[in-house]
Amino acid sequence: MPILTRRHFIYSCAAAIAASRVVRANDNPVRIGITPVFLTDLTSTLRIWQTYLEQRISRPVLFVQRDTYREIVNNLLAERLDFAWICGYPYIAHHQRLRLAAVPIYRGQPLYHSNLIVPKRDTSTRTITDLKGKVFAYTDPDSNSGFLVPRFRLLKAGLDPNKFFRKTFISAGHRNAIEAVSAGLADGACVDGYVWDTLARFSPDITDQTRLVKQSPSYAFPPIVAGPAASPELYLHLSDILKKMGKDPEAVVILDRLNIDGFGSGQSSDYNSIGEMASALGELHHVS
Amino acid sequence: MFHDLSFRYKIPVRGTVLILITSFAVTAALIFRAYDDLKQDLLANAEGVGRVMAHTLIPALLKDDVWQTFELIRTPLDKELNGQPSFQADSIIVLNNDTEIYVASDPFRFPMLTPLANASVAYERLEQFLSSNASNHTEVQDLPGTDSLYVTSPIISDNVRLGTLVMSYPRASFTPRFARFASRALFATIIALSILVPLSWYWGVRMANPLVQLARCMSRIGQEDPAQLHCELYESKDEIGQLAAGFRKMLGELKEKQVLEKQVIAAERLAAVGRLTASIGHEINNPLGGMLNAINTYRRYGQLDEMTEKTVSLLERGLLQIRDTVSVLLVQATPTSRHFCIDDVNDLRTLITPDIESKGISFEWIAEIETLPLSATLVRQILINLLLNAIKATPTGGRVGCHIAAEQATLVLNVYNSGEPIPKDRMPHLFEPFVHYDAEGSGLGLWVCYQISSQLNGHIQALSSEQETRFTVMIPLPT
Repeated sequence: MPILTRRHFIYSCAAAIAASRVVRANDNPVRIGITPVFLTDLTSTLRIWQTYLEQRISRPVLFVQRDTYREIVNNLLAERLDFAWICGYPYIAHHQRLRLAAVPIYRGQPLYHSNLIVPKRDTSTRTITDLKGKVFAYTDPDSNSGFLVPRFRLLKAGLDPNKFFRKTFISAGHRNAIEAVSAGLADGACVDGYVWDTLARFSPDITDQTRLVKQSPSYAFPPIVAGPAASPELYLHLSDILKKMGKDPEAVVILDRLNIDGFGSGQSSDYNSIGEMASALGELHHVS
Repeated sequence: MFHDLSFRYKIPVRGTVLILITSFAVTAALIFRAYDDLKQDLLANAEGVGRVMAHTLIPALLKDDVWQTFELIRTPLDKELNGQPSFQADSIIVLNNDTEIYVASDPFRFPMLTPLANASVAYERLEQFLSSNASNHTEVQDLPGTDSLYVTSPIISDNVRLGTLVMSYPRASFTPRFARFASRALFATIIALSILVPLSWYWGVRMANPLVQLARCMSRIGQEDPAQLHCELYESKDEIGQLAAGFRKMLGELKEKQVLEKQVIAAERLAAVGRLTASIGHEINNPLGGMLNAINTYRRYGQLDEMTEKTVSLLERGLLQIRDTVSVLLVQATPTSRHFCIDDVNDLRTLITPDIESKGISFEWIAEIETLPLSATLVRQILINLLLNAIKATPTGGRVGCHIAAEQATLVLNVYNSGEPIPKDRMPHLFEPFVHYDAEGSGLGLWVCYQISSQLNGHIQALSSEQETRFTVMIPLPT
């Protein structure tokens, strides 16, 4: 379709122009990896946040975005990234090599839930076990709320997570999983409750097509962690900047768009419950 | 009913019908052509989209990436990205090699991993078709009994078929574009018609008018006197013009024929009167001769007293008068040895000069003849009668003329005068005997002229108008 091609061309041109303004690797920037633990398509918000951090850290800041947690975590461990906002599950899997820089405060607490959602027209499902033989969307194989939680629930119910569904697929992100459910592509998905709430705030037309079936117990919020590449000074500096954002009037817009109250500190032990689930599922040693 | 209609309406109506048929035929042809082109264009476009998309889907299918596949097939349907194109697929489906739905743009309608046939009757047909005809090319499936056209593209990676892309285009989506085009075409047709139809009426009426005129004029023949018939007719060299010219010629001949007929009737009447008078004259002459002889004899041998003498004289005068009259009536072109010559002409001139002068009449006299082999007595009699009549009819100070000439073995005598014209109702009876309009005349002058002319195989005619009254006598010269 010619129109589509033209539009795509214009978009890619616009992206190229935007990219030219982005910090280059040889500027020695602070490299921060971001994953779909939050709504990564808030491009303008990321730009503001980037500028905000650059002003305070007095160094260029580079946000590196990837679809999967694994790519970001690998880059972090391989010292190609200094920091990353990742899920609690990869963090606890690699907590020996990673340091907690900051934990987002959501609705007053550094906690979140996993929400089981189904299409709105499905009015019968009461629990995940009702979805036998259906199509289920996992957000990411390294996600706590979108992978571990539903599989752990099935395991606890004495079911085999690998055979329970007729078809499963990876949606690469919570937002995509919500869209897959709202469009009817998947008959169900477990998604990050914070992402679901945020999407309900900004794009209610998508979440309106889904029904929240069940909320899991709370887990520690996906943290921002420092990798081996980040020097102790840089780690402390950025950690400090992030934790002060909650009280900084200039950060109000960023936090509002991210739909969090601010950043606080956390303990690696906060994530133990996630590690336990992974162990129970025999997944822990698979996480690279 | 149309058969009897005037050409004034027939021609324009026929023209209009022709224009209407032509315009609508051309418009219909254009519209159908445009519909076909439109369909071909859109389908070619759809095929292109299908090919590109099938190619794009290969990596996603190889990785069994449901979400990426879904995003890829959903993009062309995104209304925010595409606006509202008039021709757009309403659903896009990726089938696996078992013609099961792998991913569809509308998963509620086409749930994952269900047979395509479950979706609807139309898709059941499509599934049957695809299972039996696995083409390796992008094709448009125009299946009967379906309300959509399906563009099917095989998804092939390194000669291995991964599945089939099906894009469904509702047939109805042609309709808005087609309707737009058709309404434009119709609008143009109506504009053309609004110019052509009045033009055809105008031309039609113009073409029919001369015919109508001609027909109207022809219908008057037989009802009106051809001599009085006057028609305004179309002048041209085209067929109608020729017809009008022919009609005019016919009308002229008709008038001529009527004049001739009148002349023939008058001549026949005069001939009949001539025969009658001649026979009566002869019948009278015989006893008359006897009676006059008897009176002579009686006078010679008898002694007559005064009373008898008076009576006999009275009888004799009466009988003589009868004889004179009869002899005038019995005009006899008696052969004579003397030929008419210029001297006779001069004599005549001398004879009438006193009358001319006494009335102060201007006199034209042209006589250019040599001696002609005609009886001098008879020609003189004609001329003297006509001249005396002319002088009598001319008022004081008027004009009288006499023209005598011999042309092409014919003696032509013209005598003309000014003055009151002869009333029209008298003209037909001009040459009849005892028809006199003047108390002094005998009423036999023109009769005699006519009889002499006839007996010499010539003829006499009279023309009278406000300007002049003219008598023309034509007598052929004997060969």
